[in-house]
Amino acid sequence: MYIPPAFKVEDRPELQAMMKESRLANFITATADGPFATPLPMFCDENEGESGVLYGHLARANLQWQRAVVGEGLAVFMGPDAYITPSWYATKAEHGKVVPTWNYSAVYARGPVEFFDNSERLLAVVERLTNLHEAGRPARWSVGDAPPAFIEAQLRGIVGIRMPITSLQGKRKMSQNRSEADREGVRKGLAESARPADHIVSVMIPS
Amino acid sequence: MYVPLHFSEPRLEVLHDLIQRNPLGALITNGRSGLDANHIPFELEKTQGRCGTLHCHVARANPVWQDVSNGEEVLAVFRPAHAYISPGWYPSKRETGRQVPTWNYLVAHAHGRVTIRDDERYVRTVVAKLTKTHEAGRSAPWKMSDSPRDYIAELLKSIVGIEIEITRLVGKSKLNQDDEAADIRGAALGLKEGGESVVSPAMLQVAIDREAKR
Repeated sequence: MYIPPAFKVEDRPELQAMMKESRLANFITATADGPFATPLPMFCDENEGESGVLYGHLARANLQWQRAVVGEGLAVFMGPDAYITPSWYATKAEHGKVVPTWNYSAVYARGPVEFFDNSERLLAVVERLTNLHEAGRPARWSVGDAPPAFIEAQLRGIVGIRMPITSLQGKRKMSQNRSEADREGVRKGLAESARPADHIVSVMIPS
Repeated sequence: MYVPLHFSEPRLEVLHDLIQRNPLGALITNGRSGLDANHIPFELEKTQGRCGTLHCHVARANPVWQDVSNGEEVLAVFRPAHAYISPGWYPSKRETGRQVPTWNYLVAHAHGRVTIRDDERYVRTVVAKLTKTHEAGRSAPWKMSDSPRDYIAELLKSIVGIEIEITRLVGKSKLNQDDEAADIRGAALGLKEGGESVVSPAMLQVAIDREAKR
């Protein structure tokens, strides 16, 4: 990944927050048959290991865990993104030296990959994922709501992923390198856009 | 990507549409320095090659264009929409309790062969096409000629083109297709009530299609 200093995120809590907000990661491994990629909800245990550990699970039928991993795995967490028209820049009217760009944010985590199918460990993973994603719901579902035999059968159908993080990099490209007037123009333009996704990016433009 | 039959989206036009609506893709490469990911807006030429061809550009300072060799296999992932599905939304949960959470999403994986295009004419064409695509629909679309010529010429020197001939376009629409219509409908409505507007209508359509088949 290419992260110019202006867009680099190094603050650990901020990187963790970005991963949490993204929720669905792209879990990528290199194998002798080429790269495998699976969209996967993953969570980070911040207290485990030196820099945290990522957890998730794959369907047992997914070939990705059956292929030997070459090197480290890569988990990519994407945030919101938007096209930025130069028409929003105040500087366009001044000297016209402007071009379009694309704003986005992403976190890239690398680490050695362990696949496991111990049912106790798998139960711990699905319980943590459940608690994370059910939080805030009015009638929260929990693993205990389903019959134990049913859960046991479900656990036999998945394989766990454990990825201790060796490298965590973040990129937040949100017009930070533009002047205050340009940023204000971008913020306003995105907020007024017909695309709902642009409104989400609008609040990410620093004032 | 693991794609069970009931989640498969094989229609080229649907996947092309997905890419064009959500052009910021993650380019996954496995070059000299190993596995890497770069987020880049892609321009799709639908009729170029069997499955289409992707065009993009990166900053010259981005090591990726020197990390891969021409002809190497790369992967571009386009993931536009996803949502957590709570079992609380399934009517069958109330009856039997035999449900677990899942995650629904619509995704396209474009596998292809890369060609590095470090030439002025190519990058000029790519940025012109990207500009035209993304300025379309604006009341006063910006054009490259709105900027001083020498400014544009300088900037073009600082980017390098990447062309990817798609050899395999794999689509996955994971929308509870393996569930009962009532559960799909229940989950779609639960999702919609939470304000979600992309996955829920797609799920509702699956429920409608399933109910029509009965």
